[in-house]
Amino acid sequence: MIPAQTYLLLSAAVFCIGLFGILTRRNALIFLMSVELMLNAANINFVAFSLQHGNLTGQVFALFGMALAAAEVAIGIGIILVLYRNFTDVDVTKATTMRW
Amino acid sequence: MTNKPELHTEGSFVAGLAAVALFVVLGAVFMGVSFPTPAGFGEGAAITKSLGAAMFDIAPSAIMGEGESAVPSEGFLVAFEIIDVVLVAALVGAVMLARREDAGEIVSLAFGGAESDQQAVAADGGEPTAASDETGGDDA
Repeated sequence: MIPAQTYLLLSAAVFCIGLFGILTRRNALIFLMSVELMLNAANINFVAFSLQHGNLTGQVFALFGMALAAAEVAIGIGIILVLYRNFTDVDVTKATTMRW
Repeated sequence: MTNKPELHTEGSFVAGLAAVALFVVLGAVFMGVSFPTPAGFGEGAAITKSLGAAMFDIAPSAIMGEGESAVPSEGFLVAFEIIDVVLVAALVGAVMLARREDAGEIVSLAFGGAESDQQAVAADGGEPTAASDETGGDDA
């Protein structure tokens, strides 16, 4: 059976790819995709430890995580749509109207 | 002389070094610990049925067939219902954010007055139009 460290490394890699995207990109859509990567890294951990402990609670929690990710994307796409309408761009650094 | 395709980058990757450093730290930590052999779910475990039983908080033994064993879990019926409400709220919120106003004016966040009408861009990618002659597009 595959040891738990392998899953943890995979999860850390996916999380760090998401973090890299958030730190280096300015496109709001890529931001959204990066956040999804970070959420899915958490789900990998849940499922890995579900197998580790022989208990299904982690898998059920991962399903709820996916549902939350879906809700987040729905709101995120709506916000990006309004961002584009107001600033004619999806660059997150352009939306500085409320900056003091 | 040939032209090479270039990767379109936005700014520098210096900030991304923090993510790389985090991965190095996490990898070093994970390689340094040892876990016991995974318990697993055993032979004949009905994982999907057990997931359904956990999500609707019913007794797994009631739905198990011959030779199938249940996997232990907690009940998640309340969380299931809360997620249901959250998803509906997100759906309504997305529609509210995306819809146009009755007079064809867009929902604006920051700008006000006629200036915002000049800034407006149709959701279908059309040319920016002034609000005075706009009839609302798809909404009629």
